Parts: sequence; C-alpha cells; structure tokens
Amino acid sequence: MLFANWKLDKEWLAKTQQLSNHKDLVCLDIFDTCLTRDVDSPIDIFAKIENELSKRSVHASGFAEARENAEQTVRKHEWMKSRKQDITLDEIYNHLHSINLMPVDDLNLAKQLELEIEKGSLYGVPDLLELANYLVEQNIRYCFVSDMYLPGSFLADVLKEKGFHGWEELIISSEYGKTKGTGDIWDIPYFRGKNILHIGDNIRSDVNKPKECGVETILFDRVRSELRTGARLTPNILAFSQQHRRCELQLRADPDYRKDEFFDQKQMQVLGKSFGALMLGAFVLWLKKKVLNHNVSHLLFFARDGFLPREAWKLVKSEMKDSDISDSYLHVSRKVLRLACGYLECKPDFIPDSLLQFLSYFDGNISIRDAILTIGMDSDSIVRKAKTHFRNIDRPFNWSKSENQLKFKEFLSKNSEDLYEVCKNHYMNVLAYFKQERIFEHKKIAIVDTGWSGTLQTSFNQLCRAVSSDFQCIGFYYGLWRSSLTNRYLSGYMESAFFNEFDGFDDHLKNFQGIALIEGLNNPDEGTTTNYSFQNGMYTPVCELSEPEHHQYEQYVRPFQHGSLTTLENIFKTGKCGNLEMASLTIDNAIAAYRLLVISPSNDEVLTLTKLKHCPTFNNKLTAIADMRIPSTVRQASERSNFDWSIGAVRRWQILSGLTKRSMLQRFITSKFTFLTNFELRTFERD
Amino acid sequence: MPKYFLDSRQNLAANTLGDSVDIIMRTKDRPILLVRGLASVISQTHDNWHLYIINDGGDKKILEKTIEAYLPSLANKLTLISHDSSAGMEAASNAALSISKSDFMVVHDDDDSWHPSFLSECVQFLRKTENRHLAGVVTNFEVVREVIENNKVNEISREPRYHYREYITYNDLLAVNPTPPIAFLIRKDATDIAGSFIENLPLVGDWDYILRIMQIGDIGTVRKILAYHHIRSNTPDLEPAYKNSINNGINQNLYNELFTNTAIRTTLNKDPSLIGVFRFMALLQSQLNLLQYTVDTRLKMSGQKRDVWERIRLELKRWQKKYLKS
Repeated sequence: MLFANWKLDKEWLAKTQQLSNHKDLVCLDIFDTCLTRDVDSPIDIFAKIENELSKRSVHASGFAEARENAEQTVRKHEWMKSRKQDITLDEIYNHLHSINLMPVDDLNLAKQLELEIEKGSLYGVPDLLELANYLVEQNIRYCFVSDMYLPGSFLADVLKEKGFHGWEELIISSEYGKTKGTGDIWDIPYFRGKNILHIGDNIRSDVNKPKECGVETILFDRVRSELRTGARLTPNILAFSQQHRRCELQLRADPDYRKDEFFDQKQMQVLGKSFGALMLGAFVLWLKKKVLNHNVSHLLFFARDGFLPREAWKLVKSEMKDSDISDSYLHVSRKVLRLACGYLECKPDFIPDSLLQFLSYFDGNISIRDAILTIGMDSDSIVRKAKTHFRNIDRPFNWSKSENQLKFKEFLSKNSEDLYEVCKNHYMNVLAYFKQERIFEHKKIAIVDTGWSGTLQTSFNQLCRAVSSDFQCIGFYYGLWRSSLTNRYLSGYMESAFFNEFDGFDDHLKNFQGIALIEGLNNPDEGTTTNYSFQNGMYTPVCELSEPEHHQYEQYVRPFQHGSLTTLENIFKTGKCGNLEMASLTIDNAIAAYRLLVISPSNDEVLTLTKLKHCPTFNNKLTAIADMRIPSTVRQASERSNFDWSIGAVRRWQILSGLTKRSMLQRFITSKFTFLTNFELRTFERD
Repeated sequence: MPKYFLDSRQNLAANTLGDSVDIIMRTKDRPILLVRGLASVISQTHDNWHLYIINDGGDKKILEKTIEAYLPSLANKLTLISHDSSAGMEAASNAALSISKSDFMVVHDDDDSWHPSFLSECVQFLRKTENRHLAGVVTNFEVVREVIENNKVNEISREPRYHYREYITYNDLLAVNPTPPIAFLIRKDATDIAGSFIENLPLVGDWDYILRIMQIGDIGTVRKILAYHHIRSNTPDLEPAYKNSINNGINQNLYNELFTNTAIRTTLNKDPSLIGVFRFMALLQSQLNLLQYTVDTRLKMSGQKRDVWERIRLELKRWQKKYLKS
C-alpha cells in the first residue's frame, strides 16, 4: 500500500544500470534507499514501540524519548572512549538497563519489539528492487552498506523478506566500527582496489564522502525521509507521521514529481490530507463535545478564520441526526467591530487612547492617504487637513516609529468629530447586519474562530449588549494567548482546543510559530470585511480581496483545504482515510502534528510554506511570514527573523545558503531559539 | 529510602494509590479574578478533581452569575459553600477541608492560576513508588505582577521562583514561607493528621500549615514552573476586595514575629531546657548582624563602593550552595 501507483524512474534506472555495467562492485545503501519505513521520520519507530508496549499493559510512558536519548548518549560515550564511529543495538539497551528505565523483562520485550516493529514498518523500494534484479541477472557483484546499529543478520532477513537476493556482502557500520559518514568504511579490505559505484540517499554520507574516497556515486533520494524533532517523541506523533509518510510517497509516485509545475499545490494537498485533516478533525470533534456540553443553540463561525472549521463542522453536523444546533458564518473583522465599539466609547470631542492605539498601527510603510482611507475617513476635507498636518500624504510612512504613531494619533484626536462619524456609521451598519442575521434570536450563541486574545468576543459582546443588555455569548477557539486573560472577564466564557492561556512561556513561543500559517490556511477566497452596504433591502458585507491574496488562495490555500476536507469526509463516511481514522482525531495528536510541522518542517515544506503571506494588521496588507533574504551577518539574521515563522525563515536560509553561512547561522540559532529544547534544536542540524 | 533514615511518613494511615484531587478555592467579591481561577482549573489536563468554591461572605448573587457560564464545564465537579459573613481565609479552607474526601488536596485561591499540567505532574510525582514517603509536593512558580484597570487585568511582569533541592528542608521553611498554596499539593492522609488551618492567623496560616505538614512527612519538589502566584499593584482605585492579603492593610512583619514567638513558646512550654539552643541561635544571629554592620561601616569609611559588599555576599552564597550540594 505504501507504494500504490508507484512508477519506476526509468531514466534513473537506465543511467544507473549503464554505469553499473563497468564497475567491479555496486554498493547499495539500505535505509531510505533500498528499504524505507512507513513513518515520516526514522525515530518515530520508537514511538511505535512505546505504543505497542502500552497495549501490552507495560508502563512505558517516556520509553521513546529515553530510547532516543540512550542512542545519543551511547554514541557520544563510545566516541569519547574509543573513537568508535557507530554503536550496536545491544549497547543501546545495555545503557537503558543501566539507568533502570523499566524492569528487565519489560526492557527485553521492548528490544524484541524494536526488531519486530522495524521489520513490519520497512518496505522494499521498487526502483532498487528492479536495479538489484538487474545486477543479479547481469552477474554484477553487489553489496549493501549501511550506517546502522541494527545487527547484520537481522537486516539480511529483512532484505530477503522484502525481495532482495543475490548480494555478496552486507557491510554494517556497527559491526566494523567505521561509517560512511566519516568515509572510513571505504577503507576496509573488502573495498580496497575495487572500481565501485555507490547508491544512496544522503548527500553527505552517500555522495560527497564516498567521492572523496574515490568511489563513484549516484544519488537516489526519492524515498528519503527527514528527521523531525518538533514534538515530543510519544505515540501522539504517530497519526501525523504515518498519514504524512503515506501521502508524501503518493506525491512522489511520479518520478518527475519535483519538475511538476503544480508541485506546490500537490505539496499543499499532502499537508491538507495529513496535518490539515488532523487539526481540523480534532477541532470539530472537540467542538461537538463542547457545544453539547454547553447546550449551545447556535454556532457563529467568524470571518475569516472560521471558514474552514465551518466547512468541517458541516461534516460533523451531518452525523448529528437529531441535533437542532444551527450555524452561520458572520462577516466581521477586527476593524469593523473595533470601530463600531468605538462609537460606544467615543464622543465627538473625545477618542479613547485604546482606539487611537488600534488605528495608529499599520504594517509596512503605507502612506497617510491609504491609512485614513482604510479607516474610512475619506472626505475631501479630511484629506485636506491631512495634507496640512503631514505635508506629503502620499509618501511611505514608517509606522513602526513611535513618534510617527504619535503624530498620527494627534491627527486623529484633532479630527475626532470625523472619526466619531466613522465609528457611528460602522456601529449602525454592524448592528443592522447583526439583526438581519438574527443574532439576538438564539437561546445560546457560541463564537467559533481561531482565537488568540479574545478581543473579537469582547467587542462582539459589548456591541450586542447595546441592543440586549443581558446578551452573553461564549467562544470556542483553536488557541488562546496569555493576553486573553486580560479580557476574560469582559469577553465571557472562552475555551480553546490546542493552545492554552496558562501554557508556559516557552510553549507560548513555540505555538506562536505557526499562527500565521493556520490563519492563512483557514481563510476563504474573500477579503476582509471593511463595512456593510445596504442594497435591495439587505445589508451586504463589503469585502476587500486583493489580487495577491486571491492568487495565494488558488495556489496554496485551496489545495490545502481540499486535501483536509476530502480526507475528513472519507473518515466521517467510512471511518478511515489512509492511515487516519476517527480515533486518530484527538487534540494531543493534532498538537503533535502542529509542532512537527512548524518546528521541524521538511526541506520541501520550508521552501513551499515560506512563500505564504498573511495580514497582521487591520489594513489587509499582505506581509511575508518569513523573510526570504539570506542574511550575511548575525545582526542581519536577527533583524530578519522577526517575522511570524522565524524557524521557517532560518531553515530556508540554511537550505539555500548551504555550507557557506552554516557557522554564522548556527551562532544565530543558539542565541535566537532559546525556547527550544536540545531535541527540538536538532531541526537545524539536518544535511 | 536508605535504612538509616526514619520513614518520614510513619505516622500516616495509608499509602494512597488513587489520583483524585480536591481543590479548595476561597473567594469573596472578586468576579474579575474568579473567572481566571475557574479557567485555570478547567484547563487542567488531569481530569479527576473536585472543586470546592468557598464564598467567604461575598455577594452570593454575583458569585452565582459569575460562575454560571462555567457550570457546564464543572458539572458534578463543583461544591459551592457560601458563608453568610466573612469568617476569614483559613476558616474558608477548613469548611472545604472538613468534607474533602479525595486522595490529594490543594488550595487554589481565586486570584492565582496553574499551568495546565500542574495537577497531572504533581499527582504523577506523588504516586511514584519512590515518592510514596512524601507528604506533599511543591513546584516552581512565577510571581505575576498585575494591575486591574477598566475591568481588565493587565500583566506587568513575571519573576520565576525556583526550588533547587529535591526536598523542602527545615532550613528553607523556618525563615520564610517558601511557597504560596497554589504551588503545593498535599496528600489527604497528611491533612487528616495535620487537622484544620488556624483560623485566627490572617496572613501566615498557609505558612503554619506547611510547617505542620512537614512535621508529618517530607515535601518533595517538581522543579518546573507549574503555578502562577498573582500579585496586584496597589493602585489608588483598586477596590479592597481585589488586593492581595499581604497588601491589604495587614502588617505582615507583625504576624511573622507573633508567629515565630508562638512557635518558640510552644516548644519551650514542652521542654524549657531548649532555651539554651534558642539563646545560642539568637547570639549567632546578632553576631552575623554585627559582622554585616562592621563590614558596611568600614567599606563606607574607606570610600569603597557598595558593590564590594554585594560581591562578598554573592561569593558567600556561592560557597554556601557548593557546600550544601556536597
């Protein structure tokens, strides 16, 4: 199933076969070349073992992390002690015994399971099976060479079982104490004096190092997997890991998948089928539980981030046969709600500082003219006054300077009457739109949105109480920041599925990394709501959709949403889609998926996702989520990493700058990402 | 435990194996803070808890309205006890303690909060075989300074407070209270022996209680920040109900002194011969004070900067830590 619809890379095979014909010996790397696992990252196998131990009633919590730590510790220890370049499975488990991780019998069971689970998770790669058959047919000698701690006899059994035969030798680094990574393995007597061709997936140990040792090489990275260390190594990672690996290999079923002009779209669809379906599915199932528990009669999905959750909610609702919970999509935005609330706080001669603060921060360098038009102060007289106040209102204005913000606040205060009228207009329109949408007719309303600070719920309640004094809605969100604690009393009841306002600071910083991604990927193909127009007896939202935003939707967001929703639809209808099933859609699994993606994205994901933009302020101007410019100095890196997805930005710089800036970036990483654990920091240590 | 240490919990009735927790939340007319406290409890990843809200003479209607939206999340997990008039913080705790039945107990004041995994980590810690001898556990915590303006709670700063040792020692405990109640989970069988909070101690009741728990058994530490102790700045327009008890016009030093005197008096009543030990300690303290005064004066006279003394103090501290570790 892992290689369903897989097409052989005939071009690669022909080239490799031709080269093989002139060699004394062909060496094949084993992992991610001849055999590959059904998990996204090699270490995920340890989570599988922990899972299996728990199923067998062994108290195994923490086993996967301990197993991974043991390997790292033994490697360091053996290197320091005897310059041994690789270690054995026995040495790893001896270390686990020595730290009394679990009772001896349980640990022996874990070791036995590790071999069984490895075997069950490995698949023969069709292209390499084809090549091996060719080599046997042509009487070309071939061997396997692998940097591995697993015993050679075990690997020989697995290779046989997966269809390989006729090899001459199996060279395992742990048995020789020498590795491909250092190049020393090529110095063993067996290889000496031979004209060798080596095939593998790792650019450093399978291509560059052997070349340095006089071995000709061919890269085969079609089934390559990458190490992900963004989430704690527990069974919670498995839902994403297995589904993503499966979808990723489906994407790679076409040998020319990278040259495909729709590669980005396909990549986004893969993310939708794995990460998207998990997050969205877990959220709506959580929402269902909460809605029933709180006896909610109507769900209000707030524009724009509530769009995708609502589409998923429709799937859940179709399963809730006797439910009378209604739902609707409400066109609101920070701008319209804040301006409408402003009417309740302002007077023609007084504007509160909180509103001035909100209206005086724009992203980028937009001009004063654009700023006052965005606020809605578009009369000729205001434009004239602005010209007098600022002289030139069309040049770029630096909004990050506090003195500039102050100057703009001063201008707004001076023209408080005009601003008051803008607020009044928004207030009237918003309330009329709410009445039209029957907001005040429901018994108990709950807002659904991605969340963060609870400001929309606070403004919404404040506005609705102007119509009905005892109005009180509650809110269900993806996440809440600490800042939401400020508003908790005024906003009313709020609860979040994934990120919590009581989380520690480091967790908060980690969770923040993917917020711009989540918001952007949940949006519909419509702009932000700027006001409401009254036409044909109806209030219609006025939405501003820019061309770049529409392009982004088509290129990235639509495929992601399509992947997420079709996968969920299958799960709800048939109970399963790929490796995901109803039971996989848990909050813990979704959090693990989120962390794996945003803290340890694969190289392809980095290059695709960093192209996304989002809108951090209310003026609907798209800003990159990661700075694409590769820095030359630590200072530049520091300045350019203040974007929403700083991990994505730095990974992009690492990939694109190669070795040249590695040490500079490494210095920067150490100082910038202090909130990451040593395990998580390994995301920056990839080849 | 090594055989030469006495089992510190030898007086305890049974080794509890359950994981149920009773949470005591004392409140009085503070809806703005109470909603945060409720959210903190509801956000716990450990699910086996029961919340006792003790209304210490506050407006019952306001309290009921405040918790109304939270009731669905508290279904079958809430006991609300209302006192018609204020009987004080410790009496409020006792009201819940007297009916508490769970395996563990913790006081979560309405103005404090927890990391979502506070209960799960502390319960797991106390349930470990090697920790069965402990009477309770404290965690690291943050002191969160905040102001209340226009019904919003604005955070000003956070300062971490760490425990460096595996256990709380008498050394830590006798000089100052090392932990607010929000960071202290106690085994119920230890509270059964310790009995009630002393109701006429408006400030140091928590400190007295942790000392009494220490008399019963050791207190372990989970060295992660899992609790948040919130302190409001005393702004002029802050309503008295929202002030922290230490900022609410009660002289803390006075209570500290009275508390110390009471403790010494009780000991001396039982064994008057101990007066020699107390006298020796008092002399030692006065010698230390004199030493500090002398160094200060000399440094001042010689025109040395103040930070020289700071450096000496830091060096002493470093030495002390090293010594204690070894």
